[in-house]
Amino acid sequence: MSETTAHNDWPQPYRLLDAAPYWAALDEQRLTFQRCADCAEAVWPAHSYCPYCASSALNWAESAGRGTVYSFSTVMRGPTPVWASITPYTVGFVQMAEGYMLFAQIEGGPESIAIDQDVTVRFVERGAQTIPVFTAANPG
Amino acid sequence: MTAQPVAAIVGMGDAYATRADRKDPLQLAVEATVAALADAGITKNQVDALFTGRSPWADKRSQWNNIFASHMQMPLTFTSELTLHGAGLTATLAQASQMIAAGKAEYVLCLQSDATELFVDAVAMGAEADADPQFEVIYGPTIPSLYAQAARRYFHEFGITETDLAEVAVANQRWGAHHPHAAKAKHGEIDIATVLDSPYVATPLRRWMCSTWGGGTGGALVVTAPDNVRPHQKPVYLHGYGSATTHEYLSDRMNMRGCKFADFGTLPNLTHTATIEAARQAYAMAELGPSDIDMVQVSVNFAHMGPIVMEDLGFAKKGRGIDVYREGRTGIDGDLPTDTNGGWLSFGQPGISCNMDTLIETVRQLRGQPLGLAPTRKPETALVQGAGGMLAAGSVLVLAA
Repeated sequence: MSETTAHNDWPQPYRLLDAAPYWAALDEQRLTFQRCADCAEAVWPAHSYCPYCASSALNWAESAGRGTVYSFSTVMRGPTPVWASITPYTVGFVQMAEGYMLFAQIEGGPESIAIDQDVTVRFVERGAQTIPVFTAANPG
Repeated sequence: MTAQPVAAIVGMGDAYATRADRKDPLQLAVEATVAALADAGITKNQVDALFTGRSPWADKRSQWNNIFASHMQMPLTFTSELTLHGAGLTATLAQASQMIAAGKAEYVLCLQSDATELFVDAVAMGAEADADPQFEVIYGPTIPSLYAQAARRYFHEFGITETDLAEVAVANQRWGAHHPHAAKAKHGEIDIATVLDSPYVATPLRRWMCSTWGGGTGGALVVTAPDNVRPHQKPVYLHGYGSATTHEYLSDRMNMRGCKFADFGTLPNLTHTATIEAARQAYAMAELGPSDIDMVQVSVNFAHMGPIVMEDLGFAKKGRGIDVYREGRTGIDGDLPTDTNGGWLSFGQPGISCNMDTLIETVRQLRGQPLGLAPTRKPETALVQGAGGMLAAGSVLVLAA
């Protein structure tokens, strides 16, 4: 585990060792996840043993970065000054095409986001870390 | 019929604080404990074990149970914090009854206090405590916005609307308006328009659909064996308990592919909670069902959790929990008076491990000594549901006068 100190007030990830490849790939603007070589399930968040079949044969794979909105909420009252400075912003779960659920920010006005809407990844820098956010796949 | 009780609550104490009358969690806990011991007619030296829920947010020291016991100069054979998130405090009664049944304790003290609003900027720290610090906190979620993920799905899957949810806030405020310690009592009774005119905190949840931090409370219960009750004590009997937990962070829940709890529904879902399993255990142990319950105290921190929990407790079919509120069943004349101190939506949520406020309310109502309104028909049986985490854990107790 390494520090979780804020960079320019953006909270930085509390890094656990299982996810080191995830954060490294994001620095290259690649979105990755794990897949179990034994049961073939997509595994997320990062694990050292498959939570579905207990296999240790977890491989990192690259996501195409596409999915649909499973649920979402637009935050009107930011928890800290840095978040208050960008309200309103939307957070939610994206059902990824590869078969896992990823929590992220979903960009766009609150009225423009809907459950089952197609979204696609883009990358933003927050402090020292590049992180994935999602935006409507076919805006307008 | 009812199974034999497994434990008896023979002492109850409560304590309250406000911004104008500040007390910290240690002071609240001591005040409540002194009152509970006096009520039970025992001394602290007769207490064998102590259980608390999570450390209060207003005093986040670890092993808070130990800190309290040493402050009291009260040596014990066993003590622990129970942290099924916020559901742990409710589960303290289960642990107490198990120690008593095993012959390892004669009296157990179950205790909690908190005063978040008086000491902590809860908005700033809220989500960091309950969201995944690696994969969620970096997106700035708030606790309302995490619970709102469930509200949005509940709307989507069952055709529920904001107007429906307003019914829950109105129903709870009807009780809270008349409770001397309810944080929102000062607003009086409200209508649906009041709720729908309030601003969004995190869509689709408006301010009146969210619990407020309400002052501070302390509560203490003295638990013993049913056959240890003495004539002067006013016992409330514990007939059944259950608890269950499914995850810590929502990201873990959303990636579950199966759940061993039979009624949890197909996954992924955000509309069923571990309370389903906790209730199943508690009903089975008490040999009672939903139709035997006269009064309910539930953990409704956001309005959609009212109907969802009512469904999980078996009072309505999935998706129809709102009818329990809409038909007036939760009110003073209803067959299922609910959250009779206003619940977290109106009484307020004094802290993170705060279900002692609902336990105290339950004991007071079963004794016929409410601080606010009493249901028209005095309840003989009551169900208490505690919940914790981001839809993570549930504990259920079945109590009877």
